[in-house]
Amino acid sequence: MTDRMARVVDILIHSFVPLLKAGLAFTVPLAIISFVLGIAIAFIVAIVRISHIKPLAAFAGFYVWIIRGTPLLVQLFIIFYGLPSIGITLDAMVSGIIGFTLSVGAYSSETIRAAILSVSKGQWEAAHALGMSKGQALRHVILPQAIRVAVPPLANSFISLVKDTSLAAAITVTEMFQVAQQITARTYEPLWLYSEAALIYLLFCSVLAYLQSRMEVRFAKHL
Amino acid sequence: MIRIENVYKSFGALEVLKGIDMTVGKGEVVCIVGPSGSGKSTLLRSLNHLERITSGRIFIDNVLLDDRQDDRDIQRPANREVNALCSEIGMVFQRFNLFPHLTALENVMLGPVVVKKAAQEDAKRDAIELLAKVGLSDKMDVYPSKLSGGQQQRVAIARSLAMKPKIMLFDEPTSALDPELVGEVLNVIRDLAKQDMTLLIVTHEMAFAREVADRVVFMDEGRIVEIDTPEKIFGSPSHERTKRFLGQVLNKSA
Repeated sequence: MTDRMARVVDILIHSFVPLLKAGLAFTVPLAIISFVLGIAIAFIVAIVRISHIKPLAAFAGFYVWIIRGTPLLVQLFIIFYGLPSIGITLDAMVSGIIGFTLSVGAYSSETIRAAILSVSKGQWEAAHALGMSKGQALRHVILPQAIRVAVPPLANSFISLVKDTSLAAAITVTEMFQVAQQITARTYEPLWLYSEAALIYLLFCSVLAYLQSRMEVRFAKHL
Repeated sequence: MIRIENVYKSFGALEVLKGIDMTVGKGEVVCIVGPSGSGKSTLLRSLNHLERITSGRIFIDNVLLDDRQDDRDIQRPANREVNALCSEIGMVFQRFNLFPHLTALENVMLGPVVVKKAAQEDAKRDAIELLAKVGLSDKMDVYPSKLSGGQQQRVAIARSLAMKPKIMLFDEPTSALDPELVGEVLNVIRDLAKQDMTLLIVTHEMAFAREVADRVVFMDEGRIVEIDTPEKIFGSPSHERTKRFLGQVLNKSA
């Protein structure tokens, strides 16, 4: 029994660095890049849907409908395993970034749209009365206020995304969960290895939750 | 300065303006009074495109702002021109609508910096001067949430003035204020009335209207019932409806 425990401890110690490395080299960049690109898309989609430019708004609505209505894992499979059959072959990491970006774009567009709509109509009117165009009003008056509303749910989405990146293991990205699977295949200690990976995810997400609370305090000023 | 010709406005099936004709001269102070729902605020908001009229024509400074016949735009100025025109018309709202993420000083500076591309230091100098004028020199770096209603409304007036408007519109500027704060806001408006600025004021403060107005407009049910000097309107109104309204309002405040 003590032999077994010594072995497990040894495996955990030796797997910690590879796991953390995979986390920092793949999980974290995958999450950050997808989130930044996804927020850019989400912002454009939100503005288009608010602006009532008919064909664009319809397209944006269609995009949100498709992404929200289908499983993320299935989308990743289509991008990585499906697209090569029509001649589009993408690197696993690139496929992952595309999949997660589209997902963030669709979900966060609703968050951003709601945040913009939450700013009172009087703020638009006051900006208009000063002679501001819609774009100027949005940039200088509406968005600074909408950000405060959007930060908590967007931070939530980001934390969620960090965990969702584990799905990329299924399309061969060597992120943290994939590495955990590889080590498990060698050592036959799934309980301990997967728990160790879970612990590192927990660590990442705790840091993010802490940053989120700090940001909320900062943005809540003067309200 | 302002010419309003045969203006109609409907919200769906509800017709709130039913053929408004009036002109306001340069430097004139006009108070609009009347029961709630009479269309006073809608008329005021039509003057800077916060509401689009259903038909009729509005000229600001002889420039056409709105021209609609049978719901069809005959000659509609471009958005850019409308924005330029609107920047010459200041507006003060019942609910202040200050920008909550900016200090009092930044609120006043934002219009000139964004719309007129004024240099920061020029805008700041003007803003400091304007806040002094409305008696808020000690509140420049304070955020709106820390100001009383009366102080917020005075910042809002300074914010409008920063654009150096030719016309100021006041939409019930004291209706959201506690009674003891009304005076400080009316004092600021009173000072403006003494200067050469054109003011249109929708108000329920009859004593104030009587004091500052060159002419008083009485509106009821989407129409102008009468326009006359305050002496005439408050002293010997020619219409039964005006008499009835003033009787009710003045009794209430007595």
